[in-house]
Amino acid sequence: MAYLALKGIEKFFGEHRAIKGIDLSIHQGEFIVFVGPSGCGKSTLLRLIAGLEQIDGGELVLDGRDITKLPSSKRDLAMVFQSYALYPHMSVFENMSFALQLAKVDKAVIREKVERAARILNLSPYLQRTPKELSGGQRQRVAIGRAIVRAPKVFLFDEPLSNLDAALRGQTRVEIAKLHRELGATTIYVTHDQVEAMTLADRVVVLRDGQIEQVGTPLELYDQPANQFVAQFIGTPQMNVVQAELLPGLHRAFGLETPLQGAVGLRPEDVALCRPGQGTLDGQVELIEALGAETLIYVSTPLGAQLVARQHSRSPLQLGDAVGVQIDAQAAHLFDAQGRITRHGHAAQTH
Amino acid sequence: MARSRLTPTLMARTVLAWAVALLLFFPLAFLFLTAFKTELQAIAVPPELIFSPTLESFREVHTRSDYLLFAKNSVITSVVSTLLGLLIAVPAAYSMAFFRGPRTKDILMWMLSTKMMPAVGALVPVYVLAQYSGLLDTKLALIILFMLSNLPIMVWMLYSHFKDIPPEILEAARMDGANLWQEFRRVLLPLGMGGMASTGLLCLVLSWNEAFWSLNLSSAKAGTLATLIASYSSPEGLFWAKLSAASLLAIAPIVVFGWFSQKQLVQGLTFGAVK
Repeated sequence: MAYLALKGIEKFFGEHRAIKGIDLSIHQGEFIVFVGPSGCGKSTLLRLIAGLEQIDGGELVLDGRDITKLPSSKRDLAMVFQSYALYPHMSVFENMSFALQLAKVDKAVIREKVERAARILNLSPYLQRTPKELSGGQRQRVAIGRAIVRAPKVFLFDEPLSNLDAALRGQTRVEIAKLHRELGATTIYVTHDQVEAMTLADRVVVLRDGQIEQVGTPLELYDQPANQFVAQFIGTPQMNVVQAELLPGLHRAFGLETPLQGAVGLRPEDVALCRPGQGTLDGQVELIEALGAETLIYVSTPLGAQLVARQHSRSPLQLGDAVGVQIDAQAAHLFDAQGRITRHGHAAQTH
Repeated sequence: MARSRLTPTLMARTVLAWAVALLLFFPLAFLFLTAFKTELQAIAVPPELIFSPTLESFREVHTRSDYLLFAKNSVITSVVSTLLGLLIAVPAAYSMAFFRGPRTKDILMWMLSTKMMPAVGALVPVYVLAQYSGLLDTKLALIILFMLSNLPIMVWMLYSHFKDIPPEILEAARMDGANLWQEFRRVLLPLGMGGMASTGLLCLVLSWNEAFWSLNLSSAKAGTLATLIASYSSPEGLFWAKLSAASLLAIAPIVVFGWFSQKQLVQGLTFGAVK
């Protein structure tokens, strides 16, 4: 049975229907990530769950209790904000103990809980400081600490890492994953960063335009996207999606007589390069991105198809070189004109 | 570090700054000097800058009118109207700053627009209302009017102060289980203290110096210091020294008060919570 159930959740901003009937069941202990392009409604949906915005339709049930109309203060949820939103006039200790103080928890218990959380988050030396005396990463940890001392029913994270620099972001991501393993708390995490989504989530919810496009484990989304949007949203670099008529002869690889309709989706790792004339089609190198561990080679064909190939070895190719493109037809996804999937490719196990 | 050289521009600027400062300070200085002169010295042309100061005018003011009564009225009307105003303006500004609706800006503009009407335009109806309700020459009438006339400014000032407070901090308090009162008491009050203090202080000064309504709606019983000053420019002629002495007595408390609260006025909380 669902621990947190969203049933037909709706939100209007004036005339604009921002959230269009979201149904979702979240299990206890699960790490759920809401991901999607900006403006897709992921943060709004989180704020609706938090009670910071009013729900205009549908029902929200937490642990068997209808909390749709309950104010935030009574929902027993904790939230980590993008801007951290620490109380600037309180010390780290006071920040972390604020919720417990409000709940009139015994002073000794508060001290013990805060100190334990501070130990977990390496904040023990900073308990008497104010937020402005802390670095960005430390503030972030205080914000997380403030959430965990309360042991709430659900943790809500609203893009918590986007104010950190790249190195710290990666490190904190790992720490959050570790923390979730240790605490086993139900978590909803909003991000626009698909790496965070893929690495942290038990299940990812891909949102677009206030609607769910797909819910699934990270690899399900990667291997079996429900549509072209999800296919292109998940994965870096993006999945190659090329109109089928730009890839003549590909249908023979599928064993078909008639040319394919719609669009063909290929992960960059399913596109290999070879000598000109030896592949499925020919093309020309347009750009090479040597990232060290892998090399991305951008190729355009005479018909105008653009393809990215990912390979794990260094490449002797130069810009403008003629190459052959070898397409792994088994791995190709097919989409119809509306972007719906008509055929899933087989996940390439060998790569 | 090189010392800044006295360039012509800098010199000109310094001179200009001093000139402006002296110009602004001149009436106050002249008032101060005149208050310690005799009536004869006060009207001397050219004005005497060196004279033996006398407390004659103060003595005169003290015997002729009950300074303490007027001072008490001023304190009560300005303090109570300011507190009452804050009580109404703080929740109003809170909801406008943190729960903006599509019409919030319009409401703020509308509130400000009431300040654009000259007070005298409302004199007759207000006077009649005060008369019918038996509030003429009562402190209550002045308190209500001071409060109402300051309310738009109070809401505006508080609104712009509150808007500088990141709303997430209040949301965080709500998520932490704070009810409305706790959110106000534990988070908004400490963070908005600077804004509330400067708003309150400004309104205190405005109410203290308010003359139009106190002159028209009060006299012997509820009169404030502004009416005391006015009583020295009477039909029998101007008594410059006594007028100055009364004015000095009237503004002294608020000047001293302003001097001491200067720091609170300027001081703002620095935010470390948000990047």
